[in-house]
Amino acid sequence: MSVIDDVRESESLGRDFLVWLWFRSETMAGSFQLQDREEAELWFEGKVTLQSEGDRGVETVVCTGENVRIREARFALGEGKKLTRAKIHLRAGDNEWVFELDSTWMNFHSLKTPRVFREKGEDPDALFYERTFLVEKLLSMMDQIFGGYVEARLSPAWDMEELPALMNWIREGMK
Amino acid sequence: MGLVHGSASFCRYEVDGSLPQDYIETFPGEILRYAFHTLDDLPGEERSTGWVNILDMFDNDFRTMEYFKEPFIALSWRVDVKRIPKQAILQYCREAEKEVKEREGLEYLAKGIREEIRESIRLRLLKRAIPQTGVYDMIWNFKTNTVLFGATGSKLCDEFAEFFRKTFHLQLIPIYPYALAQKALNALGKDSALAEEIRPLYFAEGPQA
Repeated sequence: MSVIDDVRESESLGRDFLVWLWFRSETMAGSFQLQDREEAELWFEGKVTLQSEGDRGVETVVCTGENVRIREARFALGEGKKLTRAKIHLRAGDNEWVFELDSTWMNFHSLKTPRVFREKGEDPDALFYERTFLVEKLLSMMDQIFGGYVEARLSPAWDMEELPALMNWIREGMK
Repeated sequence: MGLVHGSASFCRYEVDGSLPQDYIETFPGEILRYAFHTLDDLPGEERSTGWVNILDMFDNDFRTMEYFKEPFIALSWRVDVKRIPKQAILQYCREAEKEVKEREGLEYLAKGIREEIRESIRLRLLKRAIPQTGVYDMIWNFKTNTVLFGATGSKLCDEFAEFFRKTFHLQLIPIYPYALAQKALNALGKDSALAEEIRPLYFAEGPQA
């Protein structure tokens, strides 16, 4: 099977991860425990993209703005629309990253890392190393959070606790 | 805008295979072989692609091999494209063909002559066109065997992966959710095949599609 076939076969994995991430960010105060006793705080804000496929082809709904519009996105989710992209904020310690994550490839878009300050006359490599460290740090945290999702999906508690709570959160969003 | 400056959009790859032991000796020649050349150096070409310094898109001779930034190899992939509007070629061709027909007293021009006229017009307009430049950063961490590439469009990413293979003789494998799930399971000491057991979720009420 080619990579493209693999991606199509498994595209629900990224979509469902984004929904779970959104659910956890709203119900668990967005707090994620990471390796080495690190903690990350994550929340959705600004833009959520959903898609549905019907007789008229692919329909895309983009919800932007503050919480009210985001609630509309949650309503659309309960109507069967699929989450394909979301704007995410992630904070760890004093650092904050803002980016959009797509569900198909889990590519990062419009990433803003914490600001890198450069002293006048400083070695340009210092800027490279600091910026690369910040990008890799984000990737490591997101991979750990995704690993947590995979572990949760395969655990017996998924069907008993996590999935009912997630479905309940979606229903509440439709009220 | 890219991985080093400004806001970044990027995809990730895993490098299939390991870094050659003599990479310090062999890579500089390969990078120079596939370095970027401006379209001014390539008469008649509409597109040029190649490596440039990640911190300076005008540096393509890498005198100090600054792409080696332990444990990274960092370069930018520059793509210059000159576009000539089809309508412009059509208009200039029509005018040139009319002139030849009048001068030679011909009613029709042979296909070969029309093609010659078209090519000379294309080359003339190409000299006048200003190229559009795209610069996409590439950071290869050879400790983790991963590559970040500063673009997300499938066509461009595929072309980049092929360019990377030509330069470094190593294949890039895209990282996507299923591959990430397998990696996560490996890290947990579990069978990576378990990723297949994660079934799609349905959130809508009523029958499943």
